[in-house]
Amino acid sequence: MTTTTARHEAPEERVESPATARYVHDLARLHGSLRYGGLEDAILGAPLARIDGLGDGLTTLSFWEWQLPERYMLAVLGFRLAQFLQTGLMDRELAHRLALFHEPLPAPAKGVGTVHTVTLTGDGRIVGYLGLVGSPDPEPLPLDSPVRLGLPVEVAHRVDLLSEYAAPDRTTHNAFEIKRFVRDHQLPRGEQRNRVPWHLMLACLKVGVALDDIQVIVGDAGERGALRHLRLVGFDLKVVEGTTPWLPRSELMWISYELPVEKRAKPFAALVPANLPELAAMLETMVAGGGAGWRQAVVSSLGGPARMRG
Amino acid sequence: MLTIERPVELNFDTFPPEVQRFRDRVREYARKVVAPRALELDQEAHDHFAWDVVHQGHRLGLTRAVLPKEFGGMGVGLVGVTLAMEELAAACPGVALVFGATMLAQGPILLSGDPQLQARFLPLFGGDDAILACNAICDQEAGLDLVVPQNVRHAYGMTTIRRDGDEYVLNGHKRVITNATVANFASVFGTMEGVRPDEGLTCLIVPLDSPGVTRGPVADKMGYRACLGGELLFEDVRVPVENLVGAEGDGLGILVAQGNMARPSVAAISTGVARHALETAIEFCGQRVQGGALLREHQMTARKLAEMTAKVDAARLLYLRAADKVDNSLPPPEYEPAVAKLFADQVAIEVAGDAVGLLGSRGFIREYGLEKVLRDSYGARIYEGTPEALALAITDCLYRTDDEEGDDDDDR
Amino acid sequence: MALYEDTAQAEHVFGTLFQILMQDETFTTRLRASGLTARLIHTKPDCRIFLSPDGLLMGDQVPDESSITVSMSCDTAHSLWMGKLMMPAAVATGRVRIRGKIAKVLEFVPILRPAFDRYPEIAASCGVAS
Repeated sequence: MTTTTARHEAPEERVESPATARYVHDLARLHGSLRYGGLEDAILGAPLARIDGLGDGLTTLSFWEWQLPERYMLAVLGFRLAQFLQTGLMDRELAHRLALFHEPLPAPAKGVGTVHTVTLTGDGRIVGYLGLVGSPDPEPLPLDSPVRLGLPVEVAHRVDLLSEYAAPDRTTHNAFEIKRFVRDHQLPRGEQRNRVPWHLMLACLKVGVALDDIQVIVGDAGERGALRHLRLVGFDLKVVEGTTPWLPRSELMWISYELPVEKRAKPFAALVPANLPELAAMLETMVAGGGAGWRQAVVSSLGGPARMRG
Repeated sequence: MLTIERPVELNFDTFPPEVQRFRDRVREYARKVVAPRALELDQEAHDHFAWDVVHQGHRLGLTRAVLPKEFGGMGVGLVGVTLAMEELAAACPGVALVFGATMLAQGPILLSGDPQLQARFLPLFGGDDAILACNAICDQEAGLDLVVPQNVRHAYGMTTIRRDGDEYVLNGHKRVITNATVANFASVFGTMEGVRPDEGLTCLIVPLDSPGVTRGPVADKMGYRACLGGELLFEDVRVPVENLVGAEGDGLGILVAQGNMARPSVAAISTGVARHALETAIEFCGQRVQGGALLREHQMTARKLAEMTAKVDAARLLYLRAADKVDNSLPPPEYEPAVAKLFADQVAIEVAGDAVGLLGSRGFIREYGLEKVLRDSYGARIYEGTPEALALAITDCLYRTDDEEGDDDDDR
Repeated sequence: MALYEDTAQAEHVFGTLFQILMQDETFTTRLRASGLTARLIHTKPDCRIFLSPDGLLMGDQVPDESSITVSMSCDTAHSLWMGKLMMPAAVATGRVRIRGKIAKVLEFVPILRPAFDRYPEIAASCGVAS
């Protein structure tokens, strides 16, 4: 795996200009006001996963990047930017200076590509997102190949997450990174807000079932974010502590690695559980059940085995 | 035999493929969605607004037609926009103006060259549901004085603007602003407090849900009833300094440039109105028999139809020439757009009047639709430059010398 | 009195400025994708520059045609690059005149940032008074 050596910059006191604060506020308002009721119909071919009719007014769709026309892809990237700027995990001054209104459109994938998952309300507002990024290797390579290209989390944390999962029937094209797991911060507190991350998780499992050849997942996340959700749905995560992640200051997310250590995302890896279809079916039943205690049911039913494996 | 050194390609029938496609899609929308509802919308209450019709036009790109590609723009230039406006206006000029007014309001943001301002407002038009904007120029007292550049210094009672820290504060009363009732934001022209209007005219982008903004009553208009001309009241409305277009006092230049860029579109709307009247007359005169012959075979009728057709064709050629010039020069030209609008506005009134005369009683009865066209034909002679204002602009161009034509004189 | 003394000074300043832009990948990629060529005709003193995806030409090498032509005096150019004159005012008052596909030109304005950042130092180093 190729890695880059990077210098580490010390955190510095950053005083945000009022104009930047207003810019971020306006972007959040702008993206919160946009509606994309035509997004589903614009997907070329069938989505990889579709979650609907659970009585919560939400629809979640998963699709390859090439399936979505650029206009809607920019809408998704705009949602992501608005959310991450609000949380401070993306550089607000940089976004303001560059007059960004969406994350940069990625170059066409030379490797596997990216699966995007979005959750929408009934009137077409994007309220949740999760990405599954495939290997950048144009051809599949063994996980312990010295010439394989690193997934973004490996490059940022300067760590090899895949080699220990090397196996004869496993290549870099079987490994995906979970990225940008986020819900709309302006959703009012309540049931819909609680259900968005579970829609995204469920879609993630369904994509795994649909694609059938995802064997390893990696990423970086905080303890209260994706790590918690992935453990609850049955992933036996190996978390790597003590990394020194770094991104150049031209990257929006560089600032997330300058947070206090206890708040920084930690890299993780896991094999996809062999009983993924059963887990997906169980989670769907619980999320569809709704009612007063559906979240507790998820935690106790799925979290139990995870804690036992713990 | 005529020879020519370098053949000149003048083609007024074939346009670039993207322009052709855009016009065809708008034509279909105009014929299938707008035209069947035109009479109904005309006879609705004066404050009724057909969002369903507008949403469908938005999805074709009619609110993004003049935007850069990064904001979902259609890449068709003003030539494409004017062709689309003619198609829409031939069905209903009120619907055409809903989109035209939105594009007009986008003008200052585009001219600003300010990437942050553009990023904060232009993506609004990229969603699946229509977002509209309005261009707020005319005040309660100051109307035409803001359209004739040399009169701006006399405009009084204008909306005022003052700077307060990192905000601008607006106070004023705008009237008969198309889309005011339904717009998301307005490009507002006001004058800096204590500064003469021609020197202090300033443009600000104002979100219309800002505290202090009140949307006033909708005018009960003679025509163009599918679009709403409403009032906007500003009482200590605060907007951030980032909402300034250019610099304080740049407003007059923006207003002039914006008007010159918009006039070909208005000429196209008038051409569409005239075309509607003409097509109605052609159909009727080709069917109605009088004195044992089709109406069109009578010499006087034939003469009228011929003159009506020539006027509509000439109006179209003039607006296309003006649009092409605007697409290819900054600052936008003054002469060609003014001539195109002056001519087309008059053509609309004359051709509509002639058509009513040809149809006789059917031209006077609402259900046949032509009396609506006659009422609509008077609209364009009022907005974006009356014939009187246009005459001043045109004669100013006629007598302008080469020295005044725009040598970049830094002492100005 | 004009800020620029002669053609050589203007060519040095504006030539350096546009060389910076021609080395910016965003700018050249956009230029190539749009298929545009541009002539910048400065006056008082004369300074002609030609930009294309293939590079930059100056003075007598500038061809007679291009898809976009931008005309302004050197003093106006100085005010624009220093941020003292805003584009809307410059265009509306005719101090800057542009011929060619205007929509394409407006798309380029935001990506001139690298040149805006460097102009003050380049001008000062060549003795152009602010």
